[in-house]
Parts: sequence; C-alpha cells; structure tokens
Amino acid sequence: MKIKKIVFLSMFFVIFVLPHYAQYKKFGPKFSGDLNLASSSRISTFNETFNYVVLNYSDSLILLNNPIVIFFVVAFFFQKILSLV
Amino acid sequence: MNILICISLWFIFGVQHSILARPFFKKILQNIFGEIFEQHFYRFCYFLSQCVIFYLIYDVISNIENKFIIFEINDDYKLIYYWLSILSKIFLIISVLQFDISHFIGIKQIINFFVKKKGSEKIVMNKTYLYKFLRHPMYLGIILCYIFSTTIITEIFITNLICILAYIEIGSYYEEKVLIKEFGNEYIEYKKNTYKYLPLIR
Repeated sequence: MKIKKIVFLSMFFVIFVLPHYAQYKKFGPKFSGDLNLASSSRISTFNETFNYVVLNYSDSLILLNNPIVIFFVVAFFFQKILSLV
Repeated sequence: MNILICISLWFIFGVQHSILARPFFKKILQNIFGEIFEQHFYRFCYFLSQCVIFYLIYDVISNIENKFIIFEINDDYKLIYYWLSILSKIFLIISVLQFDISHFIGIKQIINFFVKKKGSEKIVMNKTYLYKFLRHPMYLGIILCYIFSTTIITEIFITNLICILAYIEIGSYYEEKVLIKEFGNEYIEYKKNTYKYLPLIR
C-alpha cells in the first residue's frame, strides 16, 4: 500500500505537477480560456460556423492532437501501472 | 446570433451523444452488426467518435466571437484563480482515476473479446473515496475546470456554462435511470445518501 502511494505520487508529480510548474515558472499564471479569447479567428454567423467545421474537420480526426484522447490514454496507463504495483 | 450558434452546437453535441449511448440505439446496432460488435467493440468506437466530435465542437465554440465582457478577474486575484484552476484539474484527474478507465474507453471490452471472456461481466458499484459523497464527481470536476479556465467572463462563457450544466443535468438523469435498472435497490439507497455532483443537490 505504501509503495502504491509512492508510485502514485511520483507519477502524478512527473505527469501533472512538473509540466504545470515549468509552465508557471516560464509564463506565469496562464488560462486556456483567455488564450482562446485572444485568437484571431472569430465566428459570428451560421455560415461561418459551417465553413469552419468543413475546414477543420480533417484536423480533428488526428487523434494524437486530441487533448481528450491524450488525457484518457495517459490516465489508462497511469491506472494500469498502479494496478501492477 | 452568437449565443444561438453556441446553444445550437451544444444541442447537436448533446443529442448525438445521448442517442448513441441509449439502450435502444445499442439494440439497433446489435441487429445490424451483431451482438459481438455491440458488446466488445462499440464502446471503443463510441469513445473515439465522442472525442473527435467534442474536440471539433469545442474548437468551434472557442472561436465564436465574444460581443462583450461581463466582468474580468482583477489582476490581484489572478494568482488565487490560477491555483483554483490547478485544484479543479487535480480534482478532475482524481475523479477519473477512481473509475475503471479501460472499461470507460472500451479497451477492456476489446481485450475480453480476444481472451474469450463474455462481454457482460458483472460490474461492481463504486462507492469509495469521492463516490462516498458524490455520485458524479467527474461532472463536478468538469464544471470547476471550465469555471476556472478563464479570467474574462463573456456572454459566450456564461452560455457555455449554462449549456454544460443543462447537459450534465439531463445526461445524469438518464444515466441514473440506467444505473437503477442495473443495480436496483442498491443504487436507490446509494442515491439517498449521496449528493449528485454539487453539495446540497440530491
């Protein structure tokens, strides 16, 4: 049980804490929503929405760029490693 | 117009997400592709399709023009807000790690097919750690992560938040109906002793 806790905390530190800490040290407190607001592409009609979807549909199919897929794949391996300990 | 686009996109996502998860749709799939596909491979296809659709729709929503700023978090409080965003991410990660991820993403069902296990093995109800107090801690994690994702509150942010809350409310209602069917009295008892996802709301 103690080893499991140590493995959990060290993996959590490497995967989650370290990247956030490095980002914080480099750029300060950054918010993803604020960055989205600053982006130049802006949609204000249904026609523009449709065009945006058509243009970006193929990009969204690249699973390696998909943060949700990455999140769950990392979480899957995280859980598998913990179950092995 | 922008708010209408935002609501329409959430509506499209919500409708397809709900229909694809409903038992009647799974029955249709079973009739077309067979029981093996539905039991062992559908969950994985569903997971991947939802990742792609959500990512695309959320990307569009992020690019909708914000007409006005309702309020902005003061610079003095940004650091506190940042730490709250980190805490909400930690909460979301812990809530996700508490359920069987391989089952959630459909890998377990595929493995079961290759090791010739029956797909409908008995699932045990999770009532440990966060689930002792909340029935849907992941939903709370998602709400908190969204709230603390920006310091500039616009009309699109508020619309998104309302749509997320509405979708979670509707989704969890149907989810719990299925869970009551699956676990019966055990789930009804569990429901009485826990909060849905926000304290004080049962």
